Amino acid sequence: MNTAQKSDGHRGFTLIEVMAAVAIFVIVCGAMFSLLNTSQKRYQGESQVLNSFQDERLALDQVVRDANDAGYPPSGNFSALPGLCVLGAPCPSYVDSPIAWNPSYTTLAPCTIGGTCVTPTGFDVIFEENPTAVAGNIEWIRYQLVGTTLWRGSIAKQNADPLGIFAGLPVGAMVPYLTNVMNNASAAQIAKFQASYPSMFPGGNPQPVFQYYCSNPAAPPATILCQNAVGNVTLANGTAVPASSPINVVDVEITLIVQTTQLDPQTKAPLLVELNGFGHRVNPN
Amino acid sequence: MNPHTHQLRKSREAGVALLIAIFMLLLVSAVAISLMMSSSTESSLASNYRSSTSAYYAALAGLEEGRGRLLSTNPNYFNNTVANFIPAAGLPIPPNPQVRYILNPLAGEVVAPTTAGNQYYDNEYANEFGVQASTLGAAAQTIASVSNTGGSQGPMYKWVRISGASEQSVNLDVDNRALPLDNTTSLFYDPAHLNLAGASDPSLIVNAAPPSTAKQAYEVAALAVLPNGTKKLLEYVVAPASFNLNLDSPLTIPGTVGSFSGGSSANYTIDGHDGGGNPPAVPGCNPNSQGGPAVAVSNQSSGNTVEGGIPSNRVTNYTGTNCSYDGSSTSGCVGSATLPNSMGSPAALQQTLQTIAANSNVCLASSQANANSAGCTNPTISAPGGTGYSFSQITGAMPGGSWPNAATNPQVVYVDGDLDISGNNPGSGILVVTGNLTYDGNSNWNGIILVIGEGTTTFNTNFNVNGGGNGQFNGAIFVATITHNGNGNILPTFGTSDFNVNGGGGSGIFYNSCWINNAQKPITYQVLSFKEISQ
Repeated sequence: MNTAQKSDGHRGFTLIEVMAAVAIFVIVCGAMFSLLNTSQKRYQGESQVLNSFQDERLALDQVVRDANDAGYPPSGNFSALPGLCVLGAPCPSYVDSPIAWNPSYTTLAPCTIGGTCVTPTGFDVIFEENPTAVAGNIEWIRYQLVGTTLWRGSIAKQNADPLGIFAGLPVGAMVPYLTNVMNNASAAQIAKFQASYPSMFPGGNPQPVFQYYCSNPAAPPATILCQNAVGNVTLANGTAVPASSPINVVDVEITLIVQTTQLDPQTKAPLLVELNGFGHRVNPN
Repeated sequence: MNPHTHQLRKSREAGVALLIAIFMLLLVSAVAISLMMSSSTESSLASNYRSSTSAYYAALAGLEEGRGRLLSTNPNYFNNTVANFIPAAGLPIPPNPQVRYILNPLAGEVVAPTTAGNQYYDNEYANEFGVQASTLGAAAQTIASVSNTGGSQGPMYKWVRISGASEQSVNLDVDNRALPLDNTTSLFYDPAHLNLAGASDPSLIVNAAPPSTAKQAYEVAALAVLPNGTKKLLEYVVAPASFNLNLDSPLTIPGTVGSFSGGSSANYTIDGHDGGGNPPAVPGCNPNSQGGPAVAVSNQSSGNTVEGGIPSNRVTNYTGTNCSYDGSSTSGCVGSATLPNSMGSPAALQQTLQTIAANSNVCLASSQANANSAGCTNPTISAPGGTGYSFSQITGAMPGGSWPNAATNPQVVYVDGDLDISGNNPGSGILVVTGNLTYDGNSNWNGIILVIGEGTTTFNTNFNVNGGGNGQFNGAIFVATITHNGNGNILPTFGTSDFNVNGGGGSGIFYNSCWINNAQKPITYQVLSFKEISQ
C-alpha cells in the first residue's frame, strides 16, 4: 500500500477543522437552545397568565350575572306582599333593594355610598335577588375582598341585618372564589406593579372591585358615580331616598386585577391580568 | 481501492447536509409552533369571554325590540306591519293562548320556535305555560325583526316571544295566596292599585275582572344564540305606562278654594257617578268604577266654600259618592280628594307636567323655537293673563292642520299660557293649560283637563265659563295652583284656586273612567321585572 496514496484518498480532518466544526455546531445549538429556553419560559409565563385569566373570567362572568339579575323580583310584582319574615323562617319572596346595605337594612332609611355605608363598598357587596327564579327563594349573594382573596357566599334573605347574618355563618359558608386579587394591594406593591403596568391603578391608589353608578336626579336618565349623586329620588311607593343610596344603584362596574402565582420566569416582574365587567340592574325598585 | 470507488463514497456522503438542514428546520418549526400555540389559546379564551357578553347583549336587544314595538307611537309598531298582530283585547294565556314571535334568522337559516326539532325550538314555553310550543299551531303568529334593515347584520337573537303572563309563567305568588300558583288568570298591572293600608301601591294583580285602570302585563322573552353556540335566554315582564292621572272625581280642586260659583242653569250638572250624562261610548270599555264626589277638595273649609258657591236651587245637580265634606243632606256632594302619586304634590305634579309636555301631540308655548310643535322641552308654568291661545291654534298645529274625529280621537295637548276654547269645539284626550282656561257652554271635551297655574291667595288660577249651551265634559277636570306668583318657585303645598261659572255653563261635567283611561295612551312599556333563564 502506498502512503502517499493513502494520505491522498483517506486523509482525516485536521484538528483546526474539527474544532471549527464543533464551535459552529455549539454556537448553532446554543442559539437554538437559548431560543427554546426563552420560549419555554415565555410559555410558562403565558400559561400562568392564561390560568389566572381563566379563573378571573369565570369569576367576573358570575359577578356580572349576579349584578344583572339583582333586584328580581321587585315588590311591584306583588299585589299583596308577604309579611315580614322572622329569623330562621322563609323570607319575603320579593326584593327590598337590589343591593342590601348595612347599617339599618330595610328600614328604608338607607345609608349613602361613600358616606355612611359599611357595605356596599368598593370591596364588599351584597346583591339581593332570586338567582334560580324559584318562587320565594330570595338570596343574599355577597362578594367580599379580604386581603387578596375574593370570597363569595350566598344565604337565604332574612329579616335582619345582612352583615350580622353573614358574620354568624359557620365557617365555609363564604368560600374563596378568586385568589391573588391585587385590587387592594399595598402602596409598595402598587408601585412595583406600576413599573410593569403603568396604566393600572390610576393615581397609584387601590382599584375598587365594585364601582356603583346611581341614577342621577339632576339629569335623568343619566347615571353618575353614586358617591357624587346629590338630591333625592322617589321610589315607586312614594318614599324619597338619597340618590347616593344602594337602593338607587343602576350599574355596577367590576374591575378585577389578578396576579399570577409566580413572577414572570423571564423578567422576574409581577404578571397581572385586569378584566372589566359591567353589570346593569334592569329590575325597577 | 480505486479512485472510482472513492468518488462513489464521496457522493453518498453529500446527503448528510440535507438531513442536518431538515433537522434544524424541524427544531425551529417546533419552537415557532409552540409560540404560536400559546398565543392562539389566549385569543380563544378572550373570545369565549366576549361571546358570553355578546350573547347577553344580543338577547337584551331582542327584548328591547319586542318592548319598543308594542308601543303604538313607534313607527315599527307591530300592528302597523301586521294588522291586529297584538289584539286590542290583549294576548290570552292557555287554554286558548295567543302567542307572538319576532323571528330574526341569519341568511339561509330556519328559525321555527314552534316546530319541535328545530334547533331554536322554544323549550321554555312548556316550562312556563304547561303546554308545548309545538301545540300552538295558528295561535302563534310570527313577524320579521326590523333589526337588520339596511343590509347590516343586527344583533344575533333568534326569536322574541311575546305572550300574556300568569302567576305560574312568571313563577311568582303575586297575590300572596296559598300555592299552587294560578295558571288560568292573566296578570294585569294596575298603577292605581292600593295596598291593604289604602296607600298607593302600583303593582301586578291577579283578577279575572280587572279594574279599568289596569292594563295587561306581557311577558317578553328573547333567545340569542351565537354562531359558536353560546346561548342566552332573557325575559321581561312589561306593562304599558301612562301619566297616571287617574282622578276619581269630575272636578278636583286641591289646596284652598278661593271662590267657587256653580252654573245657574237647570241643566248644569256635576256628576261624580261613573258614566253619567249619556256620554259617547269608548269601544270595549264599560264605566264601572266607584266614582267620587261631584267636587273633590283638600279640606273642610274649602268644602264649605264650594257648598256656599252652589246655587241653592241647583244642589241636586251636584251628585256623587263619598260626599264626606257635605254640610247637610240637602247640599251638593263635596268630598275629600284622593290624588294619584303623580299629582299628589306641586313638585310631583310639575314632574308629571314635564312628562306630559315632552310626550304631547301638540304643544303651544312661546318658549318653543317652533311655537306649534309636538313635544315641548322645559315648559314653564305661565301666569294667567300671559300669552293667550285659541282652540283653532290646537287644531292648526295637528298634522295636516286638522283634528279628525276630535271628539273621539284622543290627543295630548299642552298649552303653556291661557286658552280659550269657546265655540262649538269638540276635543278629546289630555288638555293641560298652565294659566286660565276659558270656555263657553257649547264646548266639549272627553278626557282629562288639567288647569295648572301660578299665583298666590290674591292671584288665582281661574276656570271661567261664559254663557250657556249644550256642551258637556266627560272625564275629569283638575284645577290647581302650584307656583308662587312672580318667582315661579314650586309651592310646598297646593295654593289657592278658583272655579267660576258665569251664566248657565252648558250641560256640565260628568265623571267617566273610560274616557280618563282612553285619554292616557301608553307613553312607554315599562319593565316590571327582568330575569335570565338558565340554559
